[in-house]
Order: sequence, then structure tokens, then C-alpha cells
Amino acid sequence: MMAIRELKVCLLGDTGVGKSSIVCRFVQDHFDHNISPTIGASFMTKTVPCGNELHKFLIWDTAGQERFHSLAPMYYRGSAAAVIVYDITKQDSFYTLKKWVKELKEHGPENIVMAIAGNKCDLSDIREVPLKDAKEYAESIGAIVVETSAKNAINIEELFQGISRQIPPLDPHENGNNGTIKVEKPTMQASRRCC
Amino acid sequence: MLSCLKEEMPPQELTRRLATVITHVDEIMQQEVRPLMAVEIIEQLHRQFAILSGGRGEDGAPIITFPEFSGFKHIPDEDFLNVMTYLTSIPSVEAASIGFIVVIDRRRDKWSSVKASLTRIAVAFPGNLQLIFILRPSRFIQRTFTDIGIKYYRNEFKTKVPIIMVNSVSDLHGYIDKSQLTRELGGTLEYRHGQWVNHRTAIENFALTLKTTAQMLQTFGSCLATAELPRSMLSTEDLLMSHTRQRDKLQDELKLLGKQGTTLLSCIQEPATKCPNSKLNLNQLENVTTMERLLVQLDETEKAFSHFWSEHHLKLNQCLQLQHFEHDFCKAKLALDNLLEEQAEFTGIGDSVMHVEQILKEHKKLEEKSQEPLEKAQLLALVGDQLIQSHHYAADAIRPRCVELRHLCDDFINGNKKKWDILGKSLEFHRQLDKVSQWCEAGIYLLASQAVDKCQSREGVDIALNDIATFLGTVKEYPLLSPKEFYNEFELLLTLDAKAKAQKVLQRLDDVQEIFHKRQVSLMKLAAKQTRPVQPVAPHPESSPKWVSSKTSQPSTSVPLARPLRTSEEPYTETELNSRGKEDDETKFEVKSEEIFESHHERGNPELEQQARLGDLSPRRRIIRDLLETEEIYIKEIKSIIDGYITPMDFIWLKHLIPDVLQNNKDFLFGNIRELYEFHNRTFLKELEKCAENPELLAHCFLKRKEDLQIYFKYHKNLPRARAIWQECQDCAYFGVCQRQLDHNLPLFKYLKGPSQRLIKYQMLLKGLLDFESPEDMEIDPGELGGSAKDGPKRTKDSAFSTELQQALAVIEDLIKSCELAVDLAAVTECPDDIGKLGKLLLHGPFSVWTIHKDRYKMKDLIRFKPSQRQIYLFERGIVFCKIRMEPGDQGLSPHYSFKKTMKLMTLSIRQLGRGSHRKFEIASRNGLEKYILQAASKEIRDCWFSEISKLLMEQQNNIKDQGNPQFEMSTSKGSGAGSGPWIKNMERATTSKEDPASSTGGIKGCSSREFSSMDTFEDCEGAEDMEKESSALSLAGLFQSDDSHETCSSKSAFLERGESSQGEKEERDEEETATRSTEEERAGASTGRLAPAGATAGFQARALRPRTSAQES
Repeated sequence: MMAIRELKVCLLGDTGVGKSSIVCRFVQDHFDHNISPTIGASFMTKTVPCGNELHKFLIWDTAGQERFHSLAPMYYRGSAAAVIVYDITKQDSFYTLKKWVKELKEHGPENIVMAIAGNKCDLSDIREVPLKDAKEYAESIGAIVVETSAKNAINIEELFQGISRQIPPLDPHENGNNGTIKVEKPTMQASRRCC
Repeated sequence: MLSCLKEEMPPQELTRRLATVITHVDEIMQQEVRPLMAVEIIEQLHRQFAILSGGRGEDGAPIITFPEFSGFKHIPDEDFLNVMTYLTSIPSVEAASIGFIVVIDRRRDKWSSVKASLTRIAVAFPGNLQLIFILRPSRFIQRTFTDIGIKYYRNEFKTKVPIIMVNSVSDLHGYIDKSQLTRELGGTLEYRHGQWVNHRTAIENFALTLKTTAQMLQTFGSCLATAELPRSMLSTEDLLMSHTRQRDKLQDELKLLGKQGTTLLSCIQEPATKCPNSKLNLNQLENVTTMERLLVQLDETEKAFSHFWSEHHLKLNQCLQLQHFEHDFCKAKLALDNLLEEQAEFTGIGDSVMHVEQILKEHKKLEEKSQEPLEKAQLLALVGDQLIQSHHYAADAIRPRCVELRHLCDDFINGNKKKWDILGKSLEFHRQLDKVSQWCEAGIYLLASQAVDKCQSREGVDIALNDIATFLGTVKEYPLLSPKEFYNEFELLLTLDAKAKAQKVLQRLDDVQEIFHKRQVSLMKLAAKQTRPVQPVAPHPESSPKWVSSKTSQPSTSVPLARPLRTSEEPYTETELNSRGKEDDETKFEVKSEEIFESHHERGNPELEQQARLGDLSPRRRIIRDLLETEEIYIKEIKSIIDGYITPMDFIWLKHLIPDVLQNNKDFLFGNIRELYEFHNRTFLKELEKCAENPELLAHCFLKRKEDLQIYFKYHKNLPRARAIWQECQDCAYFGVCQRQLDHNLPLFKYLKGPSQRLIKYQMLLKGLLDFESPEDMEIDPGELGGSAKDGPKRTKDSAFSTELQQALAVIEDLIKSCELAVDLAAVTECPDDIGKLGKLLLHGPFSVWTIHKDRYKMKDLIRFKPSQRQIYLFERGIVFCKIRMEPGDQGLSPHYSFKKTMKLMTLSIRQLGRGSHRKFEIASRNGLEKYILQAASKEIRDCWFSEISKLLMEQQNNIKDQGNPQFEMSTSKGSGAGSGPWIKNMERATTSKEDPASSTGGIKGCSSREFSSMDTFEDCEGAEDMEKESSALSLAGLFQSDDSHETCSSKSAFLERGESSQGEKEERDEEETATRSTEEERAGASTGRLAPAGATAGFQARALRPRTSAQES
């Protein structure tokens, strides 16, 4: 039986950019067109294989309203990774992303892995944030960046796989034994609706 | 104010209300029994080893379900306890007090699991347990184990909680309604765990934020309450702005929180809104209730804060208003105080129309300037009233300020009105005084303008009388004529100065009216006199100032003059002649003496013409008439100075034009000119007038008034000081006004030199008379040759007249010298007071002086020493040395003299130096201690001085030796030795003539007298060699004097040349006679006697020229 590593991952970003939709797509492979705004904190888990390990993601989904900003430290405290989400159709959300990055660098865990997700890439015809800008910024802060679409299940799995690869391994000797694992697309199945 | 503010501040209320809110939030969230937040145990809750489904038992007991959960044994005790504590704290206190129903689902598990669950619950369940349902494992063996285990468990733990074992969910439904059970237990209750967690975390976040916000508001309120009230407007404004910004920020926080609460509530209620048929379970209902209660607390928070802020803001605003009010009050009060102070400075009511108008103008400026401060002050008082009406907390402080402002405004406005009234009356007062003054001036002008017309004809007199009557009639137009009414009207204004001024004006009005009445009387008298054929000649109007002193009456002055002198045929001729003469005198006073001679010569032509017309008028009479006419002009001019310059200095309306230096030194500017006027007007002119018919009395006039004429010395002594004062204030407006009034072409000081010019005029006229006496002598000679008895008395008479004329001329010339000395000595600094003891001034001039030491008396040594430049004055009894210093003056450099020393003639000796020193001579003290060599500017001057000094020394020697001789004593007592000799001889000659012209005894007497003189000379020669030398020098001096006279005469004008030519011929003739009759006839003595007067005359002429030159230079 492979070892299971529990990795706490928190999602941060402006309200309405699609943080909860990304989590729902990743955990339950479901998209809710009428999803309500997250008004509290949400917790979900999913285990994915990564090399010789199983990575169990403990995913914290948070409310994006700035009023609850003061509770953020409770969310990202002890996190192994943070997914900061922006909406490619709203320039302001990219500005908010930068604020979150700044806070994480100032108050977050020292070795936290940062992943930038530009959600709603299916609406590129009304894009406001060029991918080039996001890539340049991600490179400047040493983060991975990917444009996603929770609605169309684009790059959601790749996002979390990228995080898994960025996580430092527990034993250096096992790096050489990493084999290529083909990730199958999960079968869409009806699941219970989240909030 | 701070304490007052604290009492009214609602910070305590705010704190209390917010504390209540915080307490309520804690109650709502059941903080005491639920110390944990869902977010803190979210991972454990997520496992769902226990859930709070929201179902209730029949009696309302909350149901906690333990679903199937493999690994239950591995749950950490801490996690188990935390979850149980949290779940049991959520139901309300009422529900929880009933007790919890626990349903444990272990249908797919085994007994060990059941046992472990029961053990955990028994140990760590924090709530009140009512009943436990256990769904037993389905397998038979495990079921048996469970039945046995339960029995053993009950015995072991002795728990009181009933445990019901059920085999299936259907059995469970017998105890609990299906609607209260989740689907896993066969019920219909919908329960979504994720949603439940989400809602719980959201509600708890909202509650926490509400508490945080309330605490923040408490802190803000306390901070505002403890803030000290600022003292300045800027600080208050800054504080108000700062507090407002903070308040706005907190207000935004509250609004945002309210919005979030509303959103949260709608999320919780969403299932009900979406599906009206569906109902919320108990969990959801409780969440809704909780949120509603929290929102109520939020509303209370907002209200409390709003109330606090409105009162605090009002307080700060009122504080700011008060500070603004007090600031504006200070400014307004300062402005009003300044206005009142400026108003108080208007103490004067003016001393003239111009002054009052100036004050009114300034007062109007003050009034205009005061409009803005007054309006601001009154507006500020209104603002204060509004603050009071709005229940301002400092109303008690504001009210007296408003009263003060209004009081100050009223004070100023009333003061202004009073000032306007007073100044208006003062203006009227001074205008009336000015009108009266103008009336007086117009009257004076009318009187002055009548001077020309009054003597012309009866018609002129009548016109003058009509003008006076008409003018006097106009006085009725002025209200000032009623003193009582006047004083009643302006009584309040009449200060001492104003009363004094009014009295002066009234007095002047009376004076002018009196003058008018006197003029009327005079004119009436004159009108009566106009019936006579004699018409008096009018005085020169241009010499009369337009203002006339009431002390002098014009008619009384002119009428006596007109009657004895004028005939009906002569008035115009005399007027024309006087006018021409006056013009000549006025326009040529500044010319040199040569020009005066030319003028004299030019005037000869009209005289000759007049002589042709008036054949009976002798030259003597013409000269005397000229003297009288010029005397009258001279007197008028002095009077014009007195009336036109001195008297107006007391006029009030001209006083402001007189500078202080003039006011304080007017006596020195004019000297004793009044004495001159009184002497000439009252005494000298009358005596000269007697000479019109008796020319022989003319010389006597001067001789008689010799002492009186010393007033000229006094006048000239003051002249340098007068010049200094004139130079200092010659440009003042007063002199300009007076000059214009007098119609003078020349400024005052030109006329102040009139007395000097008058003395020269006397000298010229007397010399003229003497010149005309010479032809008389020529006429006498043929008569004498004929031996006619008729010529005897005439010759005797003419001789006496000539002698007196010479004496009179000497008096005038001596006076001129002393006057020049007075002018010159006044310029000498440090002059000793006893200088007058040296006698009359004879000569003065610049010399180069060497001081000789006896042991180094050699010519070659003398050349090496530089001489001193000295101004030397020769008096009758001494010599004065003065140092010469050139100083800048109004006409370039002018000499100033410093006194050095005096040497008395009695102690001196004089001798002539050898050849090559023709301009030098030596004087020495008899003891030989002091010797000086004096070098003159020319040989002629040197000879003149040497001659004079020698003569003076001889006279002093004679005085000492001949004290016993009555004849010479009498000669000395007569004064000038040069003048006494011929006089004595003339007397002797007169005596001889009376006895017997042909008598040889008279001739012998003359010879005896001459021999006596020779004997004296011989005695001196026997005395000393020096005396012999001096005697020789005297003889040589006489010769040089003749030569000098001859040379000097060559520089005279044509008129004088004729005189000199005549003298020369006479001298030659006399010499021939002397040569012819030297030893034979008695007449030779008579011829010699006639020679002496000619020499004396020449000497006088020579001396006369120098004084004139000096006078011109000065």
C-alpha cells in the first residue's frame, strides 16, 4: 500500500472568480450553474496518486468577500499549497490576486507552494487579463500558472497535478523511481450537490 | 467648557449600549457552552463520525447520529470530545435541557465496535443523555455477542441511561418518527453535511465580525471622549475632520456588515424561497433565528453609534462655532476699538475753515472706513443670537459678547453723529470769521486803492465817499455783527483759542470800521478844502502797501506837504519829475558808484532844460530841491518797508507764512529802521524844507544833527546780522506776499540798503554844492581886483557858507566811514569792546606784514621770511591788525577778519625804508621791542598811509608840547586837524578884512603866524635825528599827496575831470602869484591861504572815493 500524504490546500481569490467551482469540479467532477456564493468556509478532500505516493488533498474553500479577510490566516495557516484564483474577464480580480500573493509572502508558511489559476478561460472572447501578463507575474514570484475552466473541466486536474509535483518529496531516494502514470479522465457521475 | 462638554457627552451611553450588544451576541451564539468555532474543527466535522441531523424525538430531544464509521476506534479522544462538545452546544438551551437521543448505527459492524462506542459516549459525552438506540450488527454471531455484552456492560458500568437494542430501522421507527430520521436510517429528513458546515462557519464569522466591530466602536467612542477640546479654530477643524473621517470609515464597516448579514440570511433561507412547498428543518430554522437576532444587534449597534456621533459632531461643531465667533468677536472688537480710538483723536474742532474742512474730510474717511467693521460687528451679533437660540452650550458666554458688540457700535455711531454736529458748527463759525476777515481785507484794499484818486478833484473825493458808504453798507449782511446772537449759537464751540480768534476778528472789524470812519471824516474835510485853488499832489501809490496801519493817517501826512510847496500850475510837472526820479533811484540802487555819477550827469540835462524854463532858479536852489525831493522819496520808501513788511508781521492771516527764524529775529532784520523813519519824517525833513528859501542853512542842518545822525551808525552796525537773517529766510512766502503787495520790483534787502545809499547821496549833493561855490570865488577875484566895496560883504558870506559846507561834508564823510567801520568791524571776530576808544576810522586795507627781530634786521634775511597777510585799520589813536580769512558766502568768497592786536600811535614811530622799497614802510614801538614792515598794494596807497600816520604822529607831538598855547588848543578841540587849519586862517583873514583891507599890520600878522610854525619845526630838528627825518618825510609826503591826488583824479568821471581841471588851473594861477609876489606884496599871504582849501578838498575827494569803493565791495 502506498503511503498517503495529507496536503492542506487553500483556495484564495476575489469573490465570484470560481474558487468553489474549481473545487467541486476537482473533487466531485461536477459543475453547478446556479452555485451560491460561499459565505463561510468549506472543506473537501480528494486523494490522487502521485508517483509512488498517494496525495490526499485537504481542500479549504473560503468566502471571497473582503470583509472576511481578517479570518484568512486561519485558512492558510499550515497549508502546503495555495491556489490563488482570478477571473480572466475581470482585471480587478487580477489586482486582488496580487494582494493575496503579497499577504501569503508576508504572513503565510515559509515554503508554501503557490499556484495561479486564471479561471473562466472558456470566455476568452471577453478577456481582460492577457495570459502573458499572468505568466510574467507568476514567473516573477516563482509560482506555477495555468488558465482553467471549471465549467468545461479544462486544466483542473493539471492544476492539482502541478501542485503535487511542486511538493518536495519526503525521501530523495524515491525520486528516481517515479514512473509515468497516465491520468484517466474521471467519469462524470451524479453526486450530491454542495452548498 | 471641557467639563461641560464631558457632562453632555454620550460616550458612557455608547459604551453601555455596545456592551449590551456584545453580551447579546455571546448569548445568541451560546459562547459559554461553545468555546470552539466550526472552522477550528472543520476537518473533524468533515469525517462525519457524528452528525447533528436536526431531527427531534417526540419530546423535542435533539438527535445525534453516529453513522457507520469504520475506524471509529482510531479517532483521537481529543477530536471526539471536541466534536461532541460542539454538536451538543448547537441546540438551544431549552432543547438541550430535555436531553439528547443518540442513535448508533452498527449494523455492518461487530460487537467490539459497539462496545467501544458505548464506552466513548459514557466517558466523554458532554451533554445530557436521555436515550441510546443501538442498531445491532446484522450477523447472528455478532448479535449474540452483543446481547451477552450488553448484559455484562450494564452490570459493569451501572449506567442509568436506557439502552434500546433494535434489529432494524423499522424497529427504530417504532420509537422515532421517520420524518426525524435521515435517509440512511430509513427516514425522510434531508441533511447535507457540507452545506451544514458552510452555514455554521458563515454564521460564526458574522457574529465574530459583529463583536469586533462593536468593540472597535467602543474604542472610538472612548477615544473621542478622552480627547481634550482644542483651543484654536485650526485644531478644532482638524479634530472635526479627523473624527469625521474615522466615523465615515466605521460607518462603512457597519454598512458592509449589514449587507453581508442580509446576504447570509438569504442563503440560509434559499431552500424555502426556491421551493415554497419544502420546509426548513430545525437546524435551518435555528440558523435563521440566530441570524435575525444577530441582525437586530447590528441595528442596535448602528443606532447607538449614530446617536453618539450626532451628539459628538454637534458638540464639536458648536465648539468650532464658538471659536469662530470668539475669533470674529476679537477682530470686530479690535476694529471697533480702533475706530473709537481714531474717533477720540478728533479732539480738535479746527482753527480755520481750511482746517475744519480737512478734519471733516478725514472724519468722512473714518466714517467710510467704519462701514465694513460696523456691518461685520452687527452681523456677528446676529450670528451670536442665532447660536443662543439654537441652545448652544456656551450661550451664557455668547450673550454678553453680543451685548458688547452692539454697545460698541452704538457708541461709535453716536460719537460720529456728535462729531458731525460739532464740526458743522465749527465750520460755520470759521466761515463767518473768514467772511468778516475778507470784508476787512477788501476794506483795506479799497482804502489803499483810493490813495491815488483822493486828491485829484472834488469829483474824485465824492466818488471815494460813495465807495466807502457803499462798502460800509455791506457789513450788515454778516451775522457776526450781532455778538450776542453769535455767542449764543456757537457757545459750545468756543474754546479759549476760538474765543481769542473771534475777539481778534471782531476787534479787527471794529478797527477797520473806525479807519473807514476816519477816512470819511478826512475825505469830508478834504472835500471842504477842495474849494480852495491850491491842489495838493498825490503821494506815490506804489509806495503804499495795500494794508494801512490805523496808526498812520494818509491825508494828515500829505496835506501839510502839499500846501506850502505846490501851485496849481506845477502838480503834473512835479509828479512826473518825482516819478522819474523815483524810478531812477529804485532801478539803479544796485549799480556801481560810476553809474551813479552817470545818472547824476544824465539828470543834468533835464535840470538844464528846467533851468532854461525857470531862469530865476539858481544852481544852489536846484540842488537843494533835488535834496528835498529825494528826501521825501527816501522817507516814503522807509515807510513802505515799515508798513509793508514790519506791520503785517502781526497780521493773523499772514502769521503762518512767517518762519520761526524770521519771527524770532525780526528786530535784527530791520534794526532801528523805525528810528530812521521818525528822525527823517519828523525832524530832518522839516529842517531841510526850511532851506528851500534859505540855502545858507543847509550845512547847518547837518552840523546841527551830527549826533542824531549817529542812528545810521547803529543801523549799519546791525546790517551784517540783518544780512545773515535775510540769507536764511529770503525765500519764505511772507516776503513774496509783502513784495507783491508793495509792487516792489526788488526784494526787501535791496531796500534795507537804502540808508547806506542815502548817506552817499548826501555826500554827493554836498560836494555838488561845494563845486558850484568855486565859480563864485572866481567871480570874487575880479571884483576884488576892482576894489569894489559892494563885493566885500558877499565874498565874506560865501566864504562862510563854503566853510560850513566843508564841515557838513566832513560830518557826512566821517559818518560814512564810521558806518563802514561798523559794517567791517561787525565782520571781525573776537574784536575787543574798547576798539571805539581808538577814535574814528581813517583808513583800512590789506597789507603784507613782516615781523622784525632786532638782531636780524637785514634786508637779505628779510627776503627769506614769508610775510603775513593782515587787514589793517588806522584809527585816530591806534592801529588794529586783523587776520584775513576767506569764507564762502552768497556771492562767492568773502573776507572775514580775526582780531590779532592793537598798537597805540602814542607808542609808535614811523620811518621810510631805503630805495627799492617804494611800497613799504616801517613802524616800531619806541622801546624797540616790536618792529613791523608793512607793504601796501601800490606806491600810492603806501604814500597815503605814510602821510596819514606821520600827520597823526605830528599832531600828537604838538598836543603834548603846545598845551599852554590857547590857539592850538582851540585847534585840537575842533577835531580833524586837516580841517581846522584852513578854518583858522580863514577866520584871521575875515578879521583883517573887517578892520582894513589895505592895512599893512594885517599882513604882518600873517607872516608872524607862518614864522611861528617854522620855529616849531626847528625845535624838533634840534631834538633828534629821527625827528628831523620825520620832518623830511612829512614834507615829502605832502608832495606825494599832491601827486597822488593828481593821479587819482585821472580815474574820475567826466564831471570830476572838469572839477579837477578847474582845480589845476587855480593851483597854477596861485603858484604864479606866489612866485610873483613872494617878497613884495601883502597879498601873497592871502594867496597862500587860498591854496590850503584846495588841497583839503583834494584830500577829501581822495578819501571819499575809497569809502565808496569799499561800500560797493561790501
